[in-house]
Amino acid sequence: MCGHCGCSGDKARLSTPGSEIHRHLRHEGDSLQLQQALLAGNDELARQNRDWLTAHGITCINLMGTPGAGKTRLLEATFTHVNASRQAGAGWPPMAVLEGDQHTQNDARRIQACGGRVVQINTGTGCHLDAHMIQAGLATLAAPDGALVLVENVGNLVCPALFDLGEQHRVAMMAVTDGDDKPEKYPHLFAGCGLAIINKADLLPYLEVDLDSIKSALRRLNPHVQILVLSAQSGEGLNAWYDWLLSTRP
Amino acid sequence: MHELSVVRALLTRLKPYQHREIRRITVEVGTMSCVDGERLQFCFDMVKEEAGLSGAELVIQVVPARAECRHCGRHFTPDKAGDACPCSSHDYTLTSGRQLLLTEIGFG
Ligand SMILES: [Zn+2]
Ligand SMILES: [Zn+2]
Repeated sequence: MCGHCGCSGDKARLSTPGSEIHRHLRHEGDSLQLQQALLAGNDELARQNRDWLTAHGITCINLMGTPGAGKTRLLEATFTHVNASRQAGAGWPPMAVLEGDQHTQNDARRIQACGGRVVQINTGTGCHLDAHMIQAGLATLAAPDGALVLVENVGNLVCPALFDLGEQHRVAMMAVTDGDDKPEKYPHLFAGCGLAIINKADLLPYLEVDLDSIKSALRRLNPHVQILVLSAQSGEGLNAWYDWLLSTRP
Repeated sequence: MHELSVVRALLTRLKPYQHREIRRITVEVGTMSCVDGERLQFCFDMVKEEAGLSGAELVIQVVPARAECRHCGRHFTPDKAGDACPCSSHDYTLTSGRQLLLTEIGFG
């Protein structure tokens, strides 16, 4: 059996060196059998990004989540904390942000106001970031070697899951206001992340949300996922997030 | 709708073969690929004329997921993400179901 297309390889096959395309002579009809990953173009750019990041000792974190999960708020809190810790003499790696949104520079301005190095990527009609945008974004961002680069993906729980950016870590974020069943409704994104953040914990007393059922849904989709419950607004639980950020360093 | 991005990627893959008349394009879509077959078909139909593929039909072969349990070693077929192994463990590796492949081009 042919390892590429699974058809019986008892007759000869034709291929060109360096190409995964091949033609089986036994196929009578005029058709070409191939085995091409549709997103191979994106995946190749993602591989280049990953190599480039590794060569520069840069850690890249892809932060994905619902619109309104509080991704930008979390980044604001993070920069404020990091700047204050630095002033107090604590060591933090250089940090920078790639902000993904369909339109506006609003989020980038918010990060900048907190003293963060940031580049805005507007996707126009696009509903996710892809490896090509990240490649261009990283070039413009020019983060120093050893930096932590946080990518805030377009607020969307479906499309970003499919696109490898070349990041080393994937974080999926939701808020307690999103409802208990978000992970089950959008399984791919939560199944593919290393860390899941449940934000807006300060609102728990006012909502009928079953935190345990969210957590067990997350573990069903992703038995090895790390889960953080926090509030970017009140600061509750943020120390665990900072510890996690520092733990991603090579 | 990321299916449109997937269709754009497909069109790029087809370019080298468009000196001939393409009649049929077969793609394999795994049930865990997070691509929706109907939306993929819709997006393809939306752009096919513009891409010079008005005579082409897109055939989508949906490939079911296969999994190997890390707990009991069993091979089984989860219907959807988050389904448990018959042994009730959720700790398994997908051996199939994530694919998004162009597998055949039929010419006129
Ligand atoms: Zn989309
Ligand atoms: Zn099992």
